[in-house]
Amino acid sequence: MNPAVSLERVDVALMSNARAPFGAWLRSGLALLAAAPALVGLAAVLFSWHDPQSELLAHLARHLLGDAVLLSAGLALTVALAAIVVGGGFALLVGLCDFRGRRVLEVLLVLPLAVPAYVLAFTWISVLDVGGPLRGWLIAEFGHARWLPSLRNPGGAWLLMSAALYPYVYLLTRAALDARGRALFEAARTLGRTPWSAAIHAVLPVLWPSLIAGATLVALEVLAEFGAMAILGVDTLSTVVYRTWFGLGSLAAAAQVASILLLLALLVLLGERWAKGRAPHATDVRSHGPALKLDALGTGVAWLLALLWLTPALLLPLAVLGWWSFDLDIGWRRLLDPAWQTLRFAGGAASLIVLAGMLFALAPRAGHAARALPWLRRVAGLGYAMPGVVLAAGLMLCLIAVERLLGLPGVLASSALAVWLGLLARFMRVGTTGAARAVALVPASLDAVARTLGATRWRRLVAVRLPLLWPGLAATWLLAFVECAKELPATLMLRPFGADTLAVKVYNATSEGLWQAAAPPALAIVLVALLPAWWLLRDRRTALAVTAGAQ
Amino acid sequence: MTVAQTLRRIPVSALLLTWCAVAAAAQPPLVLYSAQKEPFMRPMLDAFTAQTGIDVEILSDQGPVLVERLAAEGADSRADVLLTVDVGNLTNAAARDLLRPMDSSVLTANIPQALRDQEMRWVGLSRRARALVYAPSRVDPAQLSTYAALAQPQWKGRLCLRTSKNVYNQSLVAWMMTMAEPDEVENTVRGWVENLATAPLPDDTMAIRAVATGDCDVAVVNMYYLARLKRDDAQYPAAMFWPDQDDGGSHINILGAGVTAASKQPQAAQRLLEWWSGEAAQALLASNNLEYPANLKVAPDPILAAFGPFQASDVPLAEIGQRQADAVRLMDRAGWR
Repeated sequence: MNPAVSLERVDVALMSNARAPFGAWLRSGLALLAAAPALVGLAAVLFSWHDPQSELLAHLARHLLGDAVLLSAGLALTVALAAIVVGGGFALLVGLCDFRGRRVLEVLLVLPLAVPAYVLAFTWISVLDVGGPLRGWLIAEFGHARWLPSLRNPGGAWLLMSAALYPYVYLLTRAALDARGRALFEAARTLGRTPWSAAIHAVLPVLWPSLIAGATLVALEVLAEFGAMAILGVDTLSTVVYRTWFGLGSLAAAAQVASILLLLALLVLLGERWAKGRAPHATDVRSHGPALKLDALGTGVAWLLALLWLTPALLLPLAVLGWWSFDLDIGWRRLLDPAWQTLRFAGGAASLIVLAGMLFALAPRAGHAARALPWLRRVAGLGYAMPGVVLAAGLMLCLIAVERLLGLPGVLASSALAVWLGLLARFMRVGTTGAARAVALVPASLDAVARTLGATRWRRLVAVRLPLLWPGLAATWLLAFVECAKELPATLMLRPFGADTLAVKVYNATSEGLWQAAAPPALAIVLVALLPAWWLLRDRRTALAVTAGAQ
Repeated sequence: MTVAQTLRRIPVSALLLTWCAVAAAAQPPLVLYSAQKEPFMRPMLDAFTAQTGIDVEILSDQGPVLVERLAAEGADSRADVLLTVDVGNLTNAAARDLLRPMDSSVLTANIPQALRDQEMRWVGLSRRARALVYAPSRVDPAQLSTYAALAQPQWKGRLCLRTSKNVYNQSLVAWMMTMAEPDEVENTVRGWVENLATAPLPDDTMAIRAVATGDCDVAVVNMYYLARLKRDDAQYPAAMFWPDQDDGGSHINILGAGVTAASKQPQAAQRLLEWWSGEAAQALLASNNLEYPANLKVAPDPILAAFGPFQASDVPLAEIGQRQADAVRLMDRAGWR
């Protein structure tokens, strides 16, 4: 392929579509429809201000909000930084160096993605914290357990969220490395730079956009996290939202607190824009195969570092869950239906999320829509930073209003459709980011050539674009699927009668303090999410697409 | 029409006829909005269905979500019964006119007055006592007396509490507010917080484990959490103490239910609650969930009976429910996280 042509992106080819006004309107309309659930949830949050709960808010401001804002913002920032260092560092390690077992490690490092943060929290706590076997032993032997710090504090939350979320940065960065970083590394080495100097001066600037994109996802996730924070006793804005509704009894005030969270999310996005603007432009030169061969010592250090990190993030939780499940001797058969419900809800929602992402990625590039749609995409993407409970409540109340209007009570608000819409509202950002990346990877030249050869628009879509988009879209679908399979509050609130997903089963047990009984469904979530994660990495093309061109 | 064609039609029409007959005769299922999770309710409801032929469908979620949902659905709601695991959500639902008064001599006979709404919009179905758990190896039960006494300096660094996000703790403080001035209660709560051995814990089981392993000496928990641990291990190293025995009795909360205002079959819904208050169902509920029966004619499970008899506070639960939001504010002020 002629590199000069390949630099042109598919956007250019798509520009021509703007000349078909009806098609453009149709696609804009569909994009608006896809964004609707998120917009409804967010609108419900903002609408709560028609009745400001000033007295309650004053109480919260006096006793909780100050600390909560600081904690939320501080954790979002520091966890994002940790994810950059850890995720980026490991991506460089497996991307630039060759050592024994590199391919295995490459896959292992993604797997913590499949462990929900709340599961990570309760396994750690039960082993290491108050009332656990380790402290019990220390107290019995030495009379105290002062040497074992508690994890139920902001520091513990920072560590745990970093362990749970770094794979986002790792995945995105590794793809960018595959796409171009390695060639630059080789070039810098050829010019006499040391490996460190080459990595810092030649590679890091090119990885910058991916690091920032990953860190943004991480920061937004931290803002939204409720389950893990509640277990760790860390009062972030997300837990204050929950307390305001469930303890102080005001959904309106809870939504008003959630708007502060929206402001923080906007700050995160502004930060992303600012950070991205500082990135140099990169050329697109590809190279395959790692560049730096590690000796025995280097290999040992690489593996030691990785295991030090993977033990808390993956091995400990899996071991604990496995031990409890084994000990419990539960009928795995009873998990079949919840597993099916998880597949059904998460699979359907992931498809919708990818579809929504495509609608925005292929949206018209000219006219009014071209100016409006990116904003719509950004606003709807804010659902990613909202606690699921508020977003789902907004959607639930709206669906109930619609079903009453249609005279079909009980049809909408507890249905598979409702769950799908709820998950779409929450995770649309995964779809828009992923689809944009997939589209960016397809050279516009191919479409242009097909057009020259007289192919119809439909035929070009089916025969040229879709096959090229497929790996990127598959990867996006898988990421969305994993997110949806782990999600709890929206699924709990909107699911049809009696349809318990694995996450609901975990919640049923943990909310009663029955952590051991939560182990089999929790393990099943990890397995259900591992399958796609494994598949994602098995296929080289897909893996590449996940990581490449993160901007 | 050939013979074969005719024959082929018979099963279909027969099936259709049977279906029509069944559909006409069968009672539509009752819909239960339940804050108690389905696994805890299913055995009960299956027993009800077996006896009455009435099916029950469950929608389970957290109490406040169910109340908000009922309010939004209004007259169109499919819910027949609302069941919550604490009194706060029931009083809230009643105050918002989401429950209808029941007229039932069965319920008034089976359920004590303090455990039901004055206007009979909800009734308690089981009692859950919030009591103290202590380490027998380190604590002499003679040192224990009341909830409030845990604020005294002798307990510094020895007390474990669950988070104040938990509704049982909120009800406990609301209950204390029915008997003492807010300032006094706030001082007590402040004293508890100062005495904490470790930051508030995510659940009652963890608090009991902390007592057992030696991280703290005494904790405030619902009794069935200890009962579950004792069921698995009769020698579990933690013991139950009933506080406030000389000051009006220990705090109890309820698992309770009411018939929704929107119910299309209030008779059947009330029948479910009446059945539930009966001796057979109460015994089943008590042994399945290890809670005290609301119907005092029914004996508690032997594991609970081993905790000994106790004096339960007779403060009407409705009064506790109404103070819940105030209790949360008080906990916020006192720094109980």
